[in-house]
Order: sequence, then structure tokens, then C-alpha cells
Amino acid sequence: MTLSGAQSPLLRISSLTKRFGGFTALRDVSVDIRPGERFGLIGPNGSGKTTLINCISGAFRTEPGTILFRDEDITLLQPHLRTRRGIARSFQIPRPFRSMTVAENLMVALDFAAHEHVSVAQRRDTMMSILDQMGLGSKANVSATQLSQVELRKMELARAMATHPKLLISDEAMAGLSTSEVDEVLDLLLSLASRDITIIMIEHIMQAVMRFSERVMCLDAGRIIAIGTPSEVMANQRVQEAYLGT
Amino acid sequence: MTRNSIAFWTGATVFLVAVFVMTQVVGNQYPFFAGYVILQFIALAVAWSILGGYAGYVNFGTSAFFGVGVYAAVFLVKAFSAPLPLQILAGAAIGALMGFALGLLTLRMQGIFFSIATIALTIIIETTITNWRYVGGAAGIQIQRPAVTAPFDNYVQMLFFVQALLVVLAVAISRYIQNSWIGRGLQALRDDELAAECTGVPTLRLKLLACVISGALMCAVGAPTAMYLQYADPASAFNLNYSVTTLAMSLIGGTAHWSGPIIGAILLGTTQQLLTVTISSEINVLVLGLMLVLFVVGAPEGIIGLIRKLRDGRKEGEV
Repeated sequence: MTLSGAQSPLLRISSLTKRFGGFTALRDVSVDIRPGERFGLIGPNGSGKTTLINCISGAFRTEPGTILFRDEDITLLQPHLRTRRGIARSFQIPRPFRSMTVAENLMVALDFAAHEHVSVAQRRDTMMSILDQMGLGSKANVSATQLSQVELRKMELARAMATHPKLLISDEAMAGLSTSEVDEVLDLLLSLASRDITIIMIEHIMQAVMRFSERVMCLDAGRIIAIGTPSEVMANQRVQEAYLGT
Repeated sequence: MTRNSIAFWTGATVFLVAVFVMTQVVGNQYPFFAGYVILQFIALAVAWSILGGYAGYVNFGTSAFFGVGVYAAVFLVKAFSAPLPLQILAGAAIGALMGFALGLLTLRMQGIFFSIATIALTIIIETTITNWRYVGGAAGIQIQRPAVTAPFDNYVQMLFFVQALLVVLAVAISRYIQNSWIGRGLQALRDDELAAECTGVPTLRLKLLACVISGALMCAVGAPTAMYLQYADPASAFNLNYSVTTLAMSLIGGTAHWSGPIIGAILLGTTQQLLTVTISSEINVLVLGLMLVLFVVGAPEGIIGLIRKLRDGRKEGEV
């Protein structure tokens, strides 16, 4: 399931397996993500989507299998070092820094993950411009605990953006949002993708996946059961079976 | 230097000068005996909150660090008749190593499990010292103070001044951490360790740093105690009261700002000294417990939190 072509992949996952005790959450997963790609990751609950994200971002150690990011083996790298190399993520259930304001949440990312040494004033400018892009400019000095659900999702994406990612992984950033809010977040992700950021999007809302993705991969019980263009994957019998349980 | 820094260092200088003048002017020894204990607790509470407050790792092992500081001094005095500054430096070095070991524990243990491990640490070290005959074992050991050096004419006065220096050192470090990237990183990992890692914060390195600094300061504060009491025994050097009192002072003062533990330590320390003189030393523990309950219920963010709430409330009132 690797792709051919001259361009080397941004992220190459080879024969990845993840076990929790006797339970195998991911089984021999191999996939290449191209630079600049909009990649959708789908699958029923418990199929291993978030586990795969946790392996890529470094929250979990993988046993067999390797992960290459921009031709560098990052399999054994700590999460914060992966972030500094350009892998950022949001969480399925938002995990803001609750004792901080929205601005301070972003400043953590700018303090620790920014590549070049820039002055505090420059960092503040960057922070404000990211918040403005995300439509959170007016909330900069509001405590993270006072945000609405959709604002929390946006703040997670903003915080991820503040780390200057090359690869952004959005883990169900639209779960539980209203239709108009889903469109709002989707437009944000599309505008980020148009700026040369590779995005892996995990989502259950099929409309969003179809509109967003150039390629879709479907996991079921820890295995890849289909990968291809959105319409190919949707038409795949095994995908339909996995979702409809027939 | 910012205006805040100038104000801080002016305050610190005024404090040290005042302490020094006091040692030269006041003839009565009692204020120094009592004041030393209060200063000691300020330094302990400030050191504790670097790990317990900023990083959110509640350490019940203050008495382990304190006691090791005491016994580092005891050992150095007995073996080499080492001078006081060397006792304090050696205490700090051993405390830093202990802190490093404690920091490695945070790799696997969080929350209540970490706290329980720190209590276990205290018991293990106390048992070891109790069985070490060279430093007196369970019976304890008498220490002879050397002659006091000018400009002080009494050893306790000198210790009082030395402890004041340690307070300034601890507060300056704690303040620096809070205002720097270290403080922001610790705050992030206290809120959510995984989210902090994924935002680029090297959580393990920062936790180790907090443990090393906090441990070094607590041991350094314990070191002069051998000379202060002229006696050391494991049961009092490793007394769990040090852990509980330090924790209570930090929490009552509030850990969101470096000044919180100072306020808490002054308030509680002074109350305890007054109670010891006027009623009995037993009532101390009762008052400590009552105040802790009162604050946990009424002001969980401590005095600092209470002040902030009042200030914010007034602001909203104005609008």
C-alpha cells in the first residue's frame, strides 16, 4: 500500500503493530502520506484510528514497525521532539491547559516548539495572527475553561498551528458540533491545507470526510481494509460491511 | 531589569539589611530562636511549591529532604569539622541528587501514587539513618558549635542571618522560574502532561529540573538545623510534621504565585510560634489541621486565589 513516484513521502509508516496486553489494536499497518496531502482516516469505533495517531505523535511506543518522518526514523523519539520536527495534533476530547488563557495556551507552543529564536514581541504577533485566522482573536485573554465546545476545538487547532507543523493530525475535531460549526471547522482545515500543511483528518462525519479528503483510508479491527479516493473507499464492500455491520 | 525586578531586589536587600541590623541591635535571644524557625519554613514552603505548586506533583517527602540536610551537616561536622557554608553546600548537592532520583519516579507515577512514594522515601531514609551508628543512630547525636565569627556575637543570630539568605535565594529562584519559560512549561504539564508533550514541552526534563531545584533547596535549608539545635536525632529530623506543615503553608498561601508560600509560611509560622509560647506546642497541630480544612473548603486557591478573586470581583463591579 505504499505509493510509487519520485516524491518521497512526508510520513512513512511500515508494518506498524500495537498491542495492549493480549489485545492487538493495530496489526501490520503500512501507509505513506505525501507532502501536502489531505488524508482522511475513517473506521468504526475501536478500529484503531486514535491508536494510530497516538503512535505517530509518540504518546504510544510501537513494538514492531517503524515510522519515518521526512526520511528520519522517529519510531523511538519522545513526543515533544516529534512536535519540534513538525508533527502536531489535536485531541478527540479537547485537552486545553485549563489554568491558562487562550493566548497563554498558544504561547506554550511558541515558547517550546518554535524553530527559530524570535523575540517575545514577534511571538505575540504570531500568536495573535493565528488566533485571528481561527476566529478566536477576541478570545485571546479569556480563560480556556470559559470556551464553548467549538471554540475549544478551534483553540486546539490554533495551538497545534502555533508549533509550526508540517503535518497536522486532527482527531475528530468536529465531533459533537452543529452542522454550521462543522462547516466552520472544515473551512479552517481546508484553508490550512492550502498553505502547504499536510493534514490527516480522523472523522466520523462522512460528508466532511468526502469534501475534505484527497485520499481516504479505512481501518477495521486494527487493519487497513481500504485505501484510495473517497468515492472508491465509500464504494468498497468491506467498508460498507464494517460500517453497517452486515 | 524590569520595574518589577528592581522592586523585588530592593525589597530583598531591605529585608536582609533589616535582618542584619536586628542581629546587631536586639540583645534578647528568643526572637532569633523563633524567627529562625519561621524563616526556615518560608524557605521550605517556597522550595516545596516549585515542584508541588508549579508542576503539581504533591511531595510528602519534605521531611526526607530536610532530614538528609540535617544529617549531611552532622556527618560533615563529625568527620571533618566542616564549616557551616560547606555543610549547606553539601546538603544542597545531596538534595539535588535526591531530587533527581525523585524526578525519575515521576516517569511512572503521578498524582496520589507519587505522593505515597515520597512518604515511603521518607521512611526508608529515616530507617537507614536510625541504623547508622556513626551519626548517632536512634539515640541521636550532640553537636558542638564552633566559635562564632564576627560581626555576629552569638551563633543563633548568625544562623538567623544565614537562613534569611537562604530565604532570599529560594524566593529569587522560585520567582525566576515562575516568570520564565520553565514556569510556563511546568504550568502546562501540571494542567495536562500529554497535551504539554504534544505541544513541544520536554516534560521529563522540566520535572527533573523542578525536582532537583526543589530538593537542593530543601536539603540546604535543613543543613543549619544541626547547629541550631546542637543535637540531631532521626525521629525529629525526619518528623512528618515538616512535610505536613510545609504543604499546609504552601496551600494556604496559594501556589499560583511565588509570594503565596511566603504569605502562608509567615501566617502559619507566626501563629504556631505564638501558640507554642501562649498555650502549648500540642495545639499547633490542631490549629494547622483546622486552618487547612478551612482553606480547602473556603479558599482552595489559597490566600493568593482569594485576593485575585476579590480583585476580579471589584473590576467587574466597576464595569
